[in-house]
Amino acid sequence: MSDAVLDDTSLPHDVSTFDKGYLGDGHTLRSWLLTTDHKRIAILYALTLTIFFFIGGVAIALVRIELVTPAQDFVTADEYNRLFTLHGIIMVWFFLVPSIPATFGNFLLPLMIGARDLAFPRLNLFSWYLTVIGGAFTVYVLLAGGVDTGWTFYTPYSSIYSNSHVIAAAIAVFVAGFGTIATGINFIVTTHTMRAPGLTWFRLPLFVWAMYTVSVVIILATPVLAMALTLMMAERFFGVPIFNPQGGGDPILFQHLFWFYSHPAVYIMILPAMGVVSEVIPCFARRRLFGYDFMVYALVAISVVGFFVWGHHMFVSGESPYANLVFSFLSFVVAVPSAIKVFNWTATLYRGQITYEAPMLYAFGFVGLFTMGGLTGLFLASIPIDVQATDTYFVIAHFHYVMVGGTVSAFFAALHFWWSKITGRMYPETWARFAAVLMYFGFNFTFFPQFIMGWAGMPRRYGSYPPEFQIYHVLSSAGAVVLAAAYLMPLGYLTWSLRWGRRAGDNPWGATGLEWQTSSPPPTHNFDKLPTVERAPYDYHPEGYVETGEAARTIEASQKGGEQE
Amino acid sequence: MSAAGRRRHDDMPTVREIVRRPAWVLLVLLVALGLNIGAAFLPIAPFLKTAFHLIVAAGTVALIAFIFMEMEKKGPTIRLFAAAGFIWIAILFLLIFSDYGIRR
Amino acid sequence: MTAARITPAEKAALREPWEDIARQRQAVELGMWAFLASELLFFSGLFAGYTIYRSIYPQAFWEAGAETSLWFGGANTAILLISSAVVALVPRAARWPGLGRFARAMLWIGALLGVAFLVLKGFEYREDFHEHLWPGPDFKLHAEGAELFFSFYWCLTAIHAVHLVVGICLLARLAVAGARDPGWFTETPAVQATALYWGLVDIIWTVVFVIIYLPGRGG
Repeated sequence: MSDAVLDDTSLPHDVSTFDKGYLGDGHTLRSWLLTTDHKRIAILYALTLTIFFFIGGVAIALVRIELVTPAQDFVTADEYNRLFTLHGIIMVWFFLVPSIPATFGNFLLPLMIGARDLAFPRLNLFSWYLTVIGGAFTVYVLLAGGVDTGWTFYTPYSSIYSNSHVIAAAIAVFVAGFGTIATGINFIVTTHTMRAPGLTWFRLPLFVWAMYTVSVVIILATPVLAMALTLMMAERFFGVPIFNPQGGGDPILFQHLFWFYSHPAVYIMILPAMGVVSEVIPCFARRRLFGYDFMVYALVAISVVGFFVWGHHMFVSGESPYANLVFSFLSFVVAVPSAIKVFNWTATLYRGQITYEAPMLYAFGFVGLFTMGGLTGLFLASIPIDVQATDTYFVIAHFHYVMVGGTVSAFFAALHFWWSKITGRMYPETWARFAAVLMYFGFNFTFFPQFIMGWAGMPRRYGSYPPEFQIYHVLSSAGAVVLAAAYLMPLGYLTWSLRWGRRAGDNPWGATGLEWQTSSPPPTHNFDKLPTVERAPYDYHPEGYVETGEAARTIEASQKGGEQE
Repeated sequence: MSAAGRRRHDDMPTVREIVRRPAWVLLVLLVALGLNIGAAFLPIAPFLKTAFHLIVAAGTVALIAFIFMEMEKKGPTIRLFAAAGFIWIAILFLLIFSDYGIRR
Repeated sequence: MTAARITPAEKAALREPWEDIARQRQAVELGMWAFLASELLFFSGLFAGYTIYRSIYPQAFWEAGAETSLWFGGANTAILLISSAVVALVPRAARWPGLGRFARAMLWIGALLGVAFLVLKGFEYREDFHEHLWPGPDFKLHAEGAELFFSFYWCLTAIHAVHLVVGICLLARLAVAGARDPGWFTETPAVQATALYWGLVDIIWTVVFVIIYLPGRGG
């Protein structure tokens, strides 16, 4: 399939990638730090988030080293608390939440809808600065000695007792949160007002739908977290007893407000990943996405119902049994649209002409790991099992399967899929396939033992543990080494490809989206001539395209199927 | 399109025309404020007073949104986003009271 | 293609990547309403907390509410209602060059009313401190939950005041920039956006007034 596009004729070979398209717009620091080009801002985000990803990774590496032996011998208990807290705060708010929207969303949304930029380019740059200011607070916390509340900031520990840098950490999250709100507003307005002629709502690629729905979740959920943190800071700083039982307050109220954001935040992380996978799978299966309409409805349903389930984080908190019942039921309900999506991705593969390029391998990894994470989520939605598994490694494994196995796999799928669009170069395929497979195995190697030890009763957030759990912890730490290697490899070969990678054409995958109709890397104003759209998305076998053999029979069968609907 | 929508000088309203409607609404809002304060001193059950206060407040919010903020002239998309703010507050209250309404 | 028909005023108000000022205004307006929805959710945490504690300590909230100053609260509510009526005139007038001065005068009046609100608020806060209404060891009331009422009193009014300060700055900035470039002022989406923000500040206060100042009156 990719043979036809091996040769790139659009460039003389002595022109560097960095002089072409938007990348050639200026090489000074100033030209980057004051840019309002959504593509450059996406790069700024990508670099920032990569730095934070590795800081958060170092923190958890130290935790995994501590856990190799049952005794608390590598770091003190207090340092241990600070390490896993830092890992959580950085990975959630400075990597996972902004990861796909702020980088690929920023880069691709205008390209995919045929626009010149986002609706508010200066607001876009401002939101990056907010993320950086929040990040600066986090780095301050790191250098000043850390914070030990866990990423959840639960009161009254955070508001009264903790002797660490709680306020600076909360400000970091608060500021970065407004950065994501600004991005969300930008995406919403862009999707509403800047679509190319003919690009109706039901012709939008699912990645655009994912960006749109996730933006709505962001603007409605994030402010509640901001207020929860504000009240926690007010209590810590001014002594108003809002969450303090001594003044009649209820610490559980903080958990309600916190999870009103932080459960939807899981969907903020996973919806963009679903969008990525919905682009990648049809492309490498050469098939129209199965059940497009239902994929859209499922995204909308997840983003709305995702707000109804936060109480399942609080089954053992003292929440009323009636509330437990309601939240448990609603948590089962939210699994339905997720299952529809997994079913539709699988059905898209049926009778497709599947090829196994690296983005596809990562996408497969996503589907497998997300399914595991989702199904164990059903265990935890059921109250009797959750009471047993609360605060154990079972929960840790569950949410890492969803957030890391899911979102990070999709992040790497997107990185490889659109790398040629972003840089104009191809990544080295063999290395990339190897990294994708290694990441899948490394991930399972790290986190599957955590399911087992969690089920057996190993609690989270402890630096020392009974010796019978050691085998699982050693396995998990060894897996983490493999996983770390799999994360570092792309850093190496992608950097290599910037200079020595094969030049990609404008559309090396033969993919259908509007982003592939412009050059790679795209010009500053995205399109020389703004496109118009006359077809549904994922038009992988358009009319007049003659297939032979097995492929022809596939088309015939799918057309018959279409008529029967 | 923008030429058709462009304003001509002879269409310009007088200040009086612009002020008239918001002024009437303001009058209504100030009277409502007076009624609300007055109702607070009535010798009736507290929950009745509170209900009355909240109804008046809801009316005030509606008038500010629809008249002052010109929601009356907006299309469905903007109305949807404004409504979403209120609907999501309702979701928060409903589900949070599934806990606090029953817990004791 | 439409470039020839863009007036200088429109050109001054146009921002990348827009080519049509009417579309740009629609976009800013939608973005502003989405932001206001977000702001409503920001305050919803406070409103939910207040409601929960009031349902747990109804008597204490009733007694504590009587300690607030209805004079200050009522006067400030009236001031803010008048200011939002005044600011509501701005987008209705600003579109006509002949009414630009009138619109900018309304902006200044709105901003001054906002400052008046803050001044009254300052006097009110001073009185509250004198009466030991700050939660803590010296707190005036003893019923369990009364401290919570005043926690919400301080948080709600302070966070609202921060929004009001931002609003005043936005009004003043628009008035100054509008006087410098009257053509820009007729076309810019900032007029509508600023007025919308001011409306939200008033909407929040409407609810704050009802739940903070009105409980506990008349015995």
